[in-house]
Amino acid sequence: MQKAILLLFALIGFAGKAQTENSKSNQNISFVNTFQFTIGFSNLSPNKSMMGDAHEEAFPSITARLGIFSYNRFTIGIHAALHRMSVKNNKYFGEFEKTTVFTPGFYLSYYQPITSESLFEPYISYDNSDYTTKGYEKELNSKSDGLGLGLDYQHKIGSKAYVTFGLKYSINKMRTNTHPDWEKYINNYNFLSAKVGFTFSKDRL
Amino acid sequence: MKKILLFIFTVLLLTACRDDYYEGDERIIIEGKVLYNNLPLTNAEVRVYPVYNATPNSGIISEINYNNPENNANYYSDNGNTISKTYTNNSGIISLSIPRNINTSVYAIKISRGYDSKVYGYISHYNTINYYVNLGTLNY
Repeated sequence: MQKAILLLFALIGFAGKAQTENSKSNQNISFVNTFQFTIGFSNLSPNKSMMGDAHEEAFPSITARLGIFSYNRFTIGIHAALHRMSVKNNKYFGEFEKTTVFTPGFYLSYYQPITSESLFEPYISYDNSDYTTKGYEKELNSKSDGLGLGLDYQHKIGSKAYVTFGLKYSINKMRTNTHPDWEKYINNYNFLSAKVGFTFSKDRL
Repeated sequence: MKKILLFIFTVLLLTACRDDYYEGDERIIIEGKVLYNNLPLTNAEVRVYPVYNATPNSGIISEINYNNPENNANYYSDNGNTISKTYTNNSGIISLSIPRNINTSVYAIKISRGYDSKVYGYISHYNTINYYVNLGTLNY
């Protein structure tokens, strides 16, 4: 974990330097020029699944993302999300109280201006989720791999600031071995997230 | 100094409380049927919990009798906290799943009807096939 954080800081430092050097030579390429912070709801409209049936909607869901490399309107970056859900049904999931979900990952986005002050930014993401469930003197740890499909609407409120509204649909596969007849119900976990927050970005509108 | 010792003692006391730890990398599906006087036992509470000190030597699941442990070579005690809870349906059917306990692969089932309850065991590697356990028909 420490190595990963050091690598991240090294990458950001390098990218910042590179951006300064490249800004005059090529305006289409930039590094670390977008940051987003949002708050919202998660686990909305889950599919028929063990995780979906077991948990309430999550609020607040806190998300952040950092664009690492941008080329024209495309951006590749890293993201992280954190939310907590109450357990409402323990029949198949187990007798617990709350699940905390931490989801780091990568994303690729493309922004499309729609007016002089607003834009859409669809994106796809890889979501690597860690679930820690506690309650009644028990702890359960689980993991999943996921694909996120999202769309942000951003409205300019300052020279680099945008108020942001977004929706994201997450398609997750739990890393669980189980009986083949039950695999779909146990492992396939999809849900919707909604968020509002701010994006800070240079050279967009 | 007293405060430090009191603090250390409190921390030790709290950490001494046993929690049950599970990993979600495996899920065992448990299904079965419960009869009472040859009729389905409906809406009975069913709890599954880990058993840490039992060593079953077969896959047979039958009632575990507290008072006559010789009937069940593996007298159980020291049970953990309930990992999964459900109720039998109108046909007396049980259906639930449990994650993998990191300290044991042995579990017992407690079925309660009103104030009465009976314990059945054991779920173990002897009767778990491809992450599935069929309890068969349990006569309450």
